[in-house]
Amino acid sequence: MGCKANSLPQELSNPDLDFAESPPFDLLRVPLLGKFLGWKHVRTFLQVPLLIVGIVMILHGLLGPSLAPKNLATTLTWLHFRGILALVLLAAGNFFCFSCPFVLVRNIARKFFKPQWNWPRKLRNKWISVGIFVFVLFIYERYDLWASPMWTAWLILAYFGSILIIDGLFKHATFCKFVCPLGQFNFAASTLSPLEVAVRDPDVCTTCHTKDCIRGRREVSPSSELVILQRGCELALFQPRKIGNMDCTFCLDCAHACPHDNVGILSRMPASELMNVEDHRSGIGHFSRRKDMAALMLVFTFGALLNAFGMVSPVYMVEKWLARLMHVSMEAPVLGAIFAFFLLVEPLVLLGGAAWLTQKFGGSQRPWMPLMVRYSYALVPLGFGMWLAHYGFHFLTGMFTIVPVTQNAAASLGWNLGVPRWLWTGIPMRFVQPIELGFIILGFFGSLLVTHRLAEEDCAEHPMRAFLPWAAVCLVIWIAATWLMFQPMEMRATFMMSS
Amino acid sequence: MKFSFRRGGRGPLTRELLVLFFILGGIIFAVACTKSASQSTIVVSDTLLTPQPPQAGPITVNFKLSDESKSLTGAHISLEGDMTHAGMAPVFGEAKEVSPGQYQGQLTFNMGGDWVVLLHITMPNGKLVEKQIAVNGVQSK
Repeated sequence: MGCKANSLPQELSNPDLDFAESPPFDLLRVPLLGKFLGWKHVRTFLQVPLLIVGIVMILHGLLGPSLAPKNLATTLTWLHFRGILALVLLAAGNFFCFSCPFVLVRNIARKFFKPQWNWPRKLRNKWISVGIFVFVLFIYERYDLWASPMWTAWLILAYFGSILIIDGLFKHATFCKFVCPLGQFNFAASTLSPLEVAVRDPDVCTTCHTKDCIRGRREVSPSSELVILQRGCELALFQPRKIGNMDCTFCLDCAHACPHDNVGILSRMPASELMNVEDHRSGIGHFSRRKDMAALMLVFTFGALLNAFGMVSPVYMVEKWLARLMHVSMEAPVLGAIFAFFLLVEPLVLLGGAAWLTQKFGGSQRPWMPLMVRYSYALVPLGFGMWLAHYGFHFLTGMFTIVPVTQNAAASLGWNLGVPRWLWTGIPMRFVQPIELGFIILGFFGSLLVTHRLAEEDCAEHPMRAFLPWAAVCLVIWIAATWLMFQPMEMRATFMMSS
Repeated sequence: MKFSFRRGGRGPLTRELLVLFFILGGIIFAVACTKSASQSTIVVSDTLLTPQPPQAGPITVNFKLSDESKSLTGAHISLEGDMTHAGMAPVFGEAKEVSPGQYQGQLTFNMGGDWVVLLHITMPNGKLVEKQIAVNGVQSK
């Protein structure tokens, strides 16, 4: 019972074209805001205050109170930064990478230390960054980073150090594209953003011969030096062939470089790029052939469950049970087992089973692994829903804590900003919980929508047969996410204490 | 032909910024490595929390205070319970001296997890001292 693939009309199989009829909204054309964002130095303008905040966080993390709720490093990092980041990704796009302070430091350093090498070809994939992403999730749980201002400060310093070393040695935006775990999180989440940096009129690009958006603009100085006047895309995304937000830092170098003013920040249907996994993307290739990219999406999705699981009551029972089973009293091996279950066993069982059912009953002609790779992108909305619910919860319930923490920090310097209002926390949990639930439901329907579109492409005659196994996977993840949300939260760092 | 990312006339400012960044980094590193613990002679001992194991809800904290091996009497102590995670509202209470140097107070932990009880101690001579009692693994109800 084979199934014909790709038999959909072109306009249906390429969801990016669905909105071709009406001109998209362009953020760069909005009065005042557009002019501000189009200003050549806007990135630096936003990076400088974030760098100052980053330095303050480092100093307070190392020198301030050791209790996390009283320290700017932990409060800003684990409450405000994560929450605002996720909400901005949902509402707009990858504006954190746009204003990333680490890149500012790198840019300053590159005035003096010019990178000599290209990143090795074998490493031009997401495997390293996926590994670092998992590593950061692991040390977050193992060393309770949320509870340690000092380690949070060192984490920020490690970021600065890493980008200086990597981009000090290797050309282009190597750190952003191949190493930065936070960037990968942003890239994955921004596939669901409503805005993307894109070409306004594709016809203009067909007549363009300079390709400044990727090459940048240079001139030869009197001393025969080739001076770069304007960078092109450092992440190798050629605008006319760029699809979606993956690997795009919203730096707007392409927009500044384009001599035809043909690059904007355009509206699009969120998640549309996840439905389009077969087309070739500039700087990326085919989503459907990128196992590393699929692994990133799976870590993004199942990591969201894992990260939330680490904060609820049942995790301590599981940890104790595993410790007894493994005859260990150290947390690392127990945590390792939980990570292996969430990030290897669970995805393999769920996706492997769904792929087998799609072949067996859906009649898909695709082999097992390409099917798993293909549908892993469909799980991103669910993963993002879970991250939003988790990070949104901490941010919304604790958003005002920045006030007393800042008052307290100022008082330690002798500046009187009033008595710290320690009871200022945030929105009550009873209001936040429905919002959390909304994010998870939104993610669930987003995943179902992407899954259905992929199933239509897979099996135009009987799309439901290909759809149902993957819809079941989405349902399992959604049930797990909803169950997690209703568990009593216990932010513990000491799982063996009461064993 | 050599490649350069330098733009005319911007060198000195960026050089200063870079120098500033490294100096700041050096200061952070040096201070972080030499940060010392506070030098209080007050010791908190014989800490007892009820119920055991600690659970979310009302909790009684008993502890003994001594200063250079002598019981510390007549101190005024306010209690503050904080979670180890940022963003949660602290809870407050008072501790009374139930026998010389022995204090007892009540707090209401509003959720499970790791808590820290801060003792804001006002000594009889008016000196302020802060001490911590870690209350790990408070169980949800």
